Amino acid sequence: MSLKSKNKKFQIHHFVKIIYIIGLICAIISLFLNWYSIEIRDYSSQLVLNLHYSMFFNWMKSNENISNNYITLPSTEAFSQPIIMIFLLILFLSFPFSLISNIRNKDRAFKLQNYSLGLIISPMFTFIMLIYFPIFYLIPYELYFPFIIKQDLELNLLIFYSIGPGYILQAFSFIFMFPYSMLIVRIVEIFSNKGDVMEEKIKKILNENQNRLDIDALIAEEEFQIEKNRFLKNSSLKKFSSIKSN
Amino acid sequence: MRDNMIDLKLKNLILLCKQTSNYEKLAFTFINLINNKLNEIGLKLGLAPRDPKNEFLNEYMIQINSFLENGVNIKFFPESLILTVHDCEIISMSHQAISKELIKKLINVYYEIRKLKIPILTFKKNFSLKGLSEGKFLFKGKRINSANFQESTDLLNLLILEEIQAKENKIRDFILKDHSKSDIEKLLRLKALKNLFEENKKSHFFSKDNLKYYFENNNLSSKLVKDFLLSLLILFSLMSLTILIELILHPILLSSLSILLFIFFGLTILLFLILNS
Repeated sequence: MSLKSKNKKFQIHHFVKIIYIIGLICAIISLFLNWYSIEIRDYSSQLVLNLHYSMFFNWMKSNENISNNYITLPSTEAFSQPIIMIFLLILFLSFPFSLISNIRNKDRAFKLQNYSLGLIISPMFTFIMLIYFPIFYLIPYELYFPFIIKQDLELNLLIFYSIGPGYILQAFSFIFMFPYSMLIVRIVEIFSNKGDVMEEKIKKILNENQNRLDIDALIAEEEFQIEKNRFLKNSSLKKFSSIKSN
Repeated sequence: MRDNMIDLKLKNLILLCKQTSNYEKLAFTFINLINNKLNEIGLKLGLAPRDPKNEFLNEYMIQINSFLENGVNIKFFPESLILTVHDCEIISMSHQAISKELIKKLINVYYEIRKLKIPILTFKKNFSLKGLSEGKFLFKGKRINSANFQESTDLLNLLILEEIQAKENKIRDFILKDHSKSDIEKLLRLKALKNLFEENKKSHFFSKDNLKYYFENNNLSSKLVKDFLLSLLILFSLMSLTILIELILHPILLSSLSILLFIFFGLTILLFLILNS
């Protein structure tokens, strides 16, 4: 008996949906973890300073008593708090989209277009964060990507630059979220009404061949005629009454 | 919604023309509306639009009738309606006095023609079954065993054609008994479906409207694996791009980061080749 017949009820799209949800969870957790860390040690491997960057708490030192005179850190955050909150909201909203809605039983595929948009936003946002963080935030400030050990000969220090677990988890979340989103987008593309193209062509031919009928103009003409007749009638009555009085 | 707007405007126009006794205008309006509607129906059925110089309205209606008769054995426009249109057209063209009765006939004709909803049948492939929920009847949960695949396919084809024919006959009888013109749309869709199916007899028939059967397609797992590899490809290309930018800005890191760059770049190319194979 083959595996397929044994697991008749197990649908592969359920498996991918579960992976998508795991991806969402990873993305949410990654926002609370460190995305970048800098460790400064002397030659005897004694820790001098430890700096971490996380999305919510910005740069943090391991020991607040020690001042950072060794490395220039960016003055701003990589992503402002509102953007992080929006991203969190998108991730939380993707949960009901993926959990509650059962696309398998949908009869009309064109209703899935909004659903597919909702699903694709999370991996897109994740990807943008994955690009933006190293290229536009780390590298311009000489914070090296992904792992570098730098020797400072003047201060006799070793500086360890590395991406943190938050960034790695975010990368994993992108890999997990991508297949399910692409599946939905593909379904919507296949099942969406391809008659729209012909409908537009027919509309175009109709526009060229139809007799143009402006009902509003016809109504206006009749209304004007009625008003004109009324005016003429009133003015002729006035004339008649003035002649009679004379 | 659009029809409601037109009806409101027509009602206004009729009331005003009654006051001014301008029945010619009403006749002109309704004849044009009938002409436009017939053109739309004809185009959707795949006929050329009416040539106003060489073709009367009744002749075009006869053409549509014969098309529908050949296709689905239904005569939509009864003879009396065609004659009425012919008379009205002749009277309006000859600038004779137009009576209220003529206007009433034209209004009736227009609203009768408007009842006919025609789907777009002018393209053969990728035919969408939007609006036809009866598409589910095509598959009754039969699974095709790979051992007797060809035999099952022929049997399935016969079953499907039989079902379509039965459904067609049922709708046709219903239309003829109840004169329900709105069901003609379903009938035309079924006919087009049958033709499409008969053309594609040798290949698999794929009902595109039902998502349920998309998920039972065996190729789904390979597509998902490809998507997974695509996500890895995107990620590795992002990594290699980032490291490349870093090396351009800080060339001193070349000795340290070059191996990472080659690993990520190599993986990107490898995945690209796998996906394209």
